[in-house]
Amino acid sequence: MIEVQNLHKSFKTKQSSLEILKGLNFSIEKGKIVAITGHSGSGKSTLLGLLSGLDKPDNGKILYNQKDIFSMSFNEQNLFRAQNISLIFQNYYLIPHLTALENVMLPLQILKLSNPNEEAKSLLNEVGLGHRLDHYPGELSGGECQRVAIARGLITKPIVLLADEPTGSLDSETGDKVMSIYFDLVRKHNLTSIIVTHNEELAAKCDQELKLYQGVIQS
Amino acid sequence: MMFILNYSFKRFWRKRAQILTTAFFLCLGFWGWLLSESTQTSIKQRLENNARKILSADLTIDVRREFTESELELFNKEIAGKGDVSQSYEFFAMMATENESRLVQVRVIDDLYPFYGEVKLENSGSVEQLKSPVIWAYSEFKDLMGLKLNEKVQLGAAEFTIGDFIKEDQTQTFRLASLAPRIFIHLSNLKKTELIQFGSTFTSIQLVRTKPEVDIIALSEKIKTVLADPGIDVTTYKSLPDDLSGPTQRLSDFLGLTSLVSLLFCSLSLFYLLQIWSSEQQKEKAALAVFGLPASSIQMIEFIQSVLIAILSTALSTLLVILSTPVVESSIRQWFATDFEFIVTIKEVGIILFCQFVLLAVLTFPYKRSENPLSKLLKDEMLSNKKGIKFFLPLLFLIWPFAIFASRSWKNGTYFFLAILAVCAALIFMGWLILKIFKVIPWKSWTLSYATKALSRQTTASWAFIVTVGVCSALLNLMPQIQSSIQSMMTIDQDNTMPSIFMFDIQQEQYTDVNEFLKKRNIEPQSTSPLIRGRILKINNEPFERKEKTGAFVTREDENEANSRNRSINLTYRNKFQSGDKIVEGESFPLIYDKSQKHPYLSIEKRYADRLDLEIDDIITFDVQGIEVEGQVKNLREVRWSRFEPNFFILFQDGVLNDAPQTHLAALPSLDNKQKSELMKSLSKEFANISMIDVERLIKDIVANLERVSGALKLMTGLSFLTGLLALIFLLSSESLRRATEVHLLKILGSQLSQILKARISEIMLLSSISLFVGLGASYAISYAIVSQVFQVSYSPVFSTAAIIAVIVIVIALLIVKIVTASSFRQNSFVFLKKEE
Repeated sequence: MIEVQNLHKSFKTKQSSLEILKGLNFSIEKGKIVAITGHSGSGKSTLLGLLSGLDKPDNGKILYNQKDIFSMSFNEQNLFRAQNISLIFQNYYLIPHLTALENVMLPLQILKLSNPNEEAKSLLNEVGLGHRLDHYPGELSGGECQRVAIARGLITKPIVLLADEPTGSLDSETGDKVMSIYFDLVRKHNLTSIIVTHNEELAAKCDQELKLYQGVIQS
Repeated sequence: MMFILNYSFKRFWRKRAQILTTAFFLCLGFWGWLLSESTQTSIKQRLENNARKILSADLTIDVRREFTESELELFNKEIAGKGDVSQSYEFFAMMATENESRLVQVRVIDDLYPFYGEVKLENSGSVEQLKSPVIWAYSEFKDLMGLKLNEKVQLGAAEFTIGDFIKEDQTQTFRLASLAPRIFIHLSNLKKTELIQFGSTFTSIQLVRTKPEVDIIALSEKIKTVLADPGIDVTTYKSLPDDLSGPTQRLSDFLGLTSLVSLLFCSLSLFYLLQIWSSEQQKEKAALAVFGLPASSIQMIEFIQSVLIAILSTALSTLLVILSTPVVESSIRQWFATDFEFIVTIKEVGIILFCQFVLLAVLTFPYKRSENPLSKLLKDEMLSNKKGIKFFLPLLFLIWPFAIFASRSWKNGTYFFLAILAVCAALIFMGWLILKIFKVIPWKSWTLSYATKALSRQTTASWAFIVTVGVCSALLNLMPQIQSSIQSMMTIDQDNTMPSIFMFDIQQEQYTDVNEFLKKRNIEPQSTSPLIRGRILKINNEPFERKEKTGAFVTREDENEANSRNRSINLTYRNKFQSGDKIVEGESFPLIYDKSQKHPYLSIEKRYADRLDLEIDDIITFDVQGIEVEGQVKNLREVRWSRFEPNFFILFQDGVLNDAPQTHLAALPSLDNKQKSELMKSLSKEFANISMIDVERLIKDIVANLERVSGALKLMTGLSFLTGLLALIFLLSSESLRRATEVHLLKILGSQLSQILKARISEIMLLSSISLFVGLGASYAISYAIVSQVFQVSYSPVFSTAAIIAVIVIVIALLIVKIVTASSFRQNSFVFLKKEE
């Protein structure tokens, strides 16, 4: 389903070039939830950026169902991502002037897909926010914001859901609740998910764990 | 304390890019302010020097009689130790040669005359020479009377020799009373002329050159109190009205406004900048609070930051001044033909430093809240409608003291502040109304729906944009309107040829003959006016006397008003208005007197009427050669004095003053030197009593001054326009950068660049349209009020500037939105959003 082949990424600093990812190779089967763990600076977020197609590698390929996302044009890549990859951030990144419902509807409206209102309501009900449809992000708690972000991530029915430290801004109790909803939904919709996290407990709940250490995956 | 200092300096260094931007806008605003202030000071200096030259002193007192012993004693007591005193007289007398005699204006001077200015002679001579006894005469007398050097002339009972001819008299002005050809004699020879006796008409003058440390205004006030006779005029170089001061004073006032506008542009940019940072700073402050730093220490960090930025931008402003000094100095010297030094003293640096600190403090401090710091730390700040109008209060209340400071007038500053307040209110109301309408429209396109939601739900951000861009547009369009109105008063009509000679004292019975005489030489007078001397006795039956005040005069206008109440005035009558006249208040009336009228009608010059508080329908009682004549003010008229036509403050209907003793004044068109000389010679033979004066040089000087003032007006308008544009570009790009996160987010959610651009452009176009519509509309209302109330000239709006500003704002807005959005779109969104975290 997802194949990462010989992935290299480095950043230039003032003095030298810093190699973050040193030829990664791994594959993830459809419907699996995979945790990427590692110390700060190990390259977890860089890998997630590459998996989302928002960043470019120095070398290597990422294949989604045999399609190399880096061989696509900028616009093709954008469209592919919008239809197939969803992202969830530590800071939720909801649009502050849209209500919870409008935030969730937005991806469908952008892609001009049908029934955005009904789909969004249904998903918000699934994440337990049916009573908070018209609330703005500023009026929601951190956990609620993250649940809105999860609903927004699911609405386009992507093939993969990428989450970057989804519990990073939440207390452990709220984090557990949010992730419980997350796992339920991912499994219910038979999605593939990659979660970047420091949280060992969370990683343990995933189907597979990839540990990054100094730019390589530890077996 | 060490932690606070350490933290403050570290923050200052790490946020250097933001701090440099703040310092740049502060520096730009204050450099503009400093430039305007220095130019204003230079202009004021020039006006004062000019006034000193005309007055030949720092202070004069004059009365139409001899000063009494006790008056002189009181006066000398006040002056004792404060300066030197010179004595002078002025009167009209007949001067006779063997062949003819002529009425001349006599100036009697002593050894100390003149304290300032110069009487330039054809051959170099000194006042000592005058004692011989000799006369110095205006060179016009060579033609008028055929006078030659060393010729004997009779003045009253004494015989004098023509000692020299005057080629330039710097004490001369364009006022009618001082335009007559003069002669100068020494005080020691006055007695033997026997011209000053009981019943003679003359003016006694005491001229004072004060020591530099003397407060001239306080001294003049004291003298006014001591010498209670309202017939005694006390004039200082600071209060002397002169023909050059009108436009130059307006330029000075205009510069005051320019400096205020520059400061406003700078404040608007800063305000916007600091609000954009506000969210970030609130988080930082919340973090410090969470870690246990007391509120007072957080405020101290804020205080230190403001002081450091103020010091940095003061240093930059001073550096900019030093770097630009050569260009500015040479330009101003060229325009005003005067010494000008663009010096920044410790005082100016101190004022700038203080003002910049106040500006930063006012813009930054009100945002300290006692909210739960942890919630602030964890929540995303949205420019919602929660802050509402409070968001704008610091800036609004900062404008007020600045407006008063820059305009040097409590009244004008407050009016300007209220006008800006009204513009803000109108902008917010229009914005609110239009956004309400847009909100209820069921948009089919998500981009338009998104844009409307973004605007109507982030009202503070929308108001901030509408108000700042609206006020910027209003200010951008304000200066060209004022400049155009002032300039239209100064423009010399191309079809109006300048007069070159003024003829005085044409007696009533000579009028037809003089016209015939001129006609024979194919000379058509540009204008002729009867001149009748009079005094205002009463206004609406109230005696008209000098208004005494307990303290100093509050404004220049008060001083002028007091001065004008004392003077006798020249009246005229006419059966038609002159082409340069424009009725600005009241109604037009037939200039032929109808005996069935209750009172004859009067047309009064607008500024003169304002000085005397005259209103339409006021009844004025005049003393015309001992007879009381009443007139009713029917209209106020604006005089295009730049046409250099003889004009009068008070104009009667034809048929009222026709029988009063009068002389006529004629203005002749441009003539070459040969024609002029022939005309003077032959006129003096046929009409010995008629005086003529060559005004060509004087007019050329005034025109040159007007051109310099016009150039300066255009340049200052251009500079303020550029400052405003810079501020506008900054505001628009800051607003676009503020929305960069949304661009990245929309991109991740699948938006194409074209969709994001459509939404952003819809937003910007809607906000810009509201801002431009209200801002530009308001600029016409404000400029009308300023032009008519402050500058007191006719309003000449220019509509092309509004169109240009609208196009510029829209084009800049579109370009900036497109460039910033497209560049954000192309960036690595993942890296951007991670950095934001």
